[in-house]
Order: sequence, then C-alpha cells, then structure tokens
Amino acid sequence: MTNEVANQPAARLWELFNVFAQIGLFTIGGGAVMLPFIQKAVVEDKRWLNDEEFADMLAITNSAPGAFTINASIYIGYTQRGLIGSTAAMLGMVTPSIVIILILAYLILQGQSVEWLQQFFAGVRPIVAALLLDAALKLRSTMVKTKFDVCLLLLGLAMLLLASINTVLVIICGAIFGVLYPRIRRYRQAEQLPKDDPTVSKTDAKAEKEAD
Amino acid sequence: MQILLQLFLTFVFIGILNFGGGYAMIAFIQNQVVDVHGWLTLQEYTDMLAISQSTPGPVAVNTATYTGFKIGGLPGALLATFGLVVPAYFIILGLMYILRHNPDNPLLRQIISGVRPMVVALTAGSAILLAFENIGSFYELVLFLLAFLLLRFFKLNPIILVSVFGIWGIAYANIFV
Repeated sequence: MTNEVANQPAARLWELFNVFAQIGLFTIGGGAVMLPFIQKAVVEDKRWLNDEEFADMLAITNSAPGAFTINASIYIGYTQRGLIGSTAAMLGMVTPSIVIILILAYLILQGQSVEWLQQFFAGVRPIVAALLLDAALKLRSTMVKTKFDVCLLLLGLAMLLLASINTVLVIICGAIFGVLYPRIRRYRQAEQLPKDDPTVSKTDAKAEKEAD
Repeated sequence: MQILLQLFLTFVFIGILNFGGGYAMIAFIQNQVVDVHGWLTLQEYTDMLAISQSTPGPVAVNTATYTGFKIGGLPGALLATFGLVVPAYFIILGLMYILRHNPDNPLLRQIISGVRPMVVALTAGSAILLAFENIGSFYELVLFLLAFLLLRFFKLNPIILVSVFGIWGIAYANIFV
C-alpha cells in the first residue's frame, strides 16, 4: 500500500487547482455539502488519499476552526505538494465562489434580476440532502467500525437533532469519549482480574502438582 | 486604505473564531458585519445569506467576498476573502505537523477515533436537517428520492447530478408554472 502511494507521481499544481475549482463550483450551501464531492474526487478518482487517510483528514479539518472545505483543500493540497500544493488547492476552492459572488454582487447592486439563478437552485436544493445522505452512508464503512463507534454516532445525532447542540461541542464530546473509553475498559479489566486470580492460582497449583 | 485594513482584520478575526463552520457562524458574522461595523444593513445581510446559500462555495467565503466588494470594491473583496482563509492555513498546517511527527501517539489516535464517528453524525445530521428545511412539497420529495436512487444505486457523478437538476429547475419554472 505504501509502495503504491510512493510510486504514484505527486499531483500537478494545476491538477490540484482544477479539482478543487470543480468542487467549489458545484457545491451549494457550503460545509458538509461539499463532502461527497471531495470524497469522490480525492479518494475514488484521483486516489490522493486512501480511506483511512481521508478519515483522519475529516477528523482534523472538522475539529479546527474555519470553513471545513477550505481546511480540507489546505490539508489535501499539503499532502500532495507541500505549502505550494495547499495554496493551489485553496485558491481553486475559493476562486469559483469569488467570481460568482462578484458578478452577482455587481448585478444586485445595479438592481438587476437574478431570477434564473434562483430557479436553477430551486431544482438543486432538494437533492442536496440526498447527496449528504449518500456521503454519510459511504463514510460509515471506514469511520464507524465498532459498537463503541455506533454509540458515539447515535449520541452525536441525538445531540444535533434532538438538542440542537453546537457542532463544536459534538466534536469535543467525541474526542473526550475517544480518550476515556480505552481507560474505562482497562479499569474494568483490572477490576475483573482479582476475581480471576484464585482460578489462576488454582490452575498454577495444579500445574505445579502435576510438575511434581 | 484604513477601511481595507479594517475589512481584512475583521475577517481574520472571523476566520479564527469560525468554529463549527457555515451555519454556526451566521450569527457571529452578522454581529461583526451588521452590528459592530455597520457595513451591511440587516435586510442586506439576509438577502446576502439567501444568495450565499443558493450559490456555490462556503457561506463564510461568499459573505466575505460580498461584504468586501460592497465596502471596498475588488480590492476589498479579495482582502476580506484572503483574511478569512489565513488563520485556517496556520491552524491546519500546525495540526498536520503535530500528527505527522507523532503518528503513533496513543492520545492523538484516541481523540481521532472518537471524532471520526461524530463526523459521520454531523454529515447525517445535516442531511436530515436539510431534508426538513428544503423538502416541503411532494414535488421536492420526488426530486430528493430520485437523486438518492441515482447516487446510491447508479453511482452517478454528483457534478452531473447537480447540473441536470439545476437545469430541470429552470425548465420546470418556465414551462410548467
């Protein structure tokens, strides 16, 4: 696996710019909406990151301040071409929004109608939820493996949907449980050990007798 | 000149404290742009949000570009957007540096293992919230289900999907309504 990645030539700067410009151009609403596009381009098409690396990338870029998509472009660009790569990817990501908003701001400040654009997005809006649902289902295979992961996922969903708790707190909560869980498990195993001890000593004693 | 510097610094500030991404930040950006600096009126800000959410790109970037353009023309737009992005650079590259130099640190791996399922929860959670927000009619429900089938079972490219549904939106509005 590592050989495969090492043999692969690093992405060209233009390629980085281009891929992220396409992602930036076709994702409406920002944030999590871009995730399926990034996943398709970076993992499935270009193979810049494998599933595990992509999962690490998501955990880190979601824990940091700033727009997730900008963070992701900086992160992925850096893995390919260092600082220049992250700049190329980030510029690709923001260029389409800047150009489109500049044109719209110009038209709106001049008092012109942009009705056709609203019609375009009226068609797109209902499918954004479908895009996200598909992305969540794809992510599940690499990011939710154990029963503990499933519990955290359900806890996160409950926090978001039932209590509308801020996303930052949900992430922090995940980090805390991630750190506590192995410690609790170790503690419980340590508690169980003394109960096992008599049997251990019995078997030891038997073993000793047999040895005698 | 002074206003350009102020634009830049304000969006650097927003970039640093922009925790939780787009939707969490709407109120904070409003506070800075409308209440503190008076660069946009509340009505302008609301209109701008509607535009941001229906145009490509992150909401925070769209807000920075729009506000910057209104206050300082093209240089204002570029400076405000640049200001928003600068903090992310330092933070992400810093975190990557820490991870790369301690790839097997147990504490880091534990934190990441706890955050991973939460990211899935965030994604699924936004899907559900957006579905409630954007699917208000039978027509929209049909569009949603059709899109989900095409993605899940026919592995259709999302870019093609967005283009086709957008063009359908224009056609529907002009032919059937």
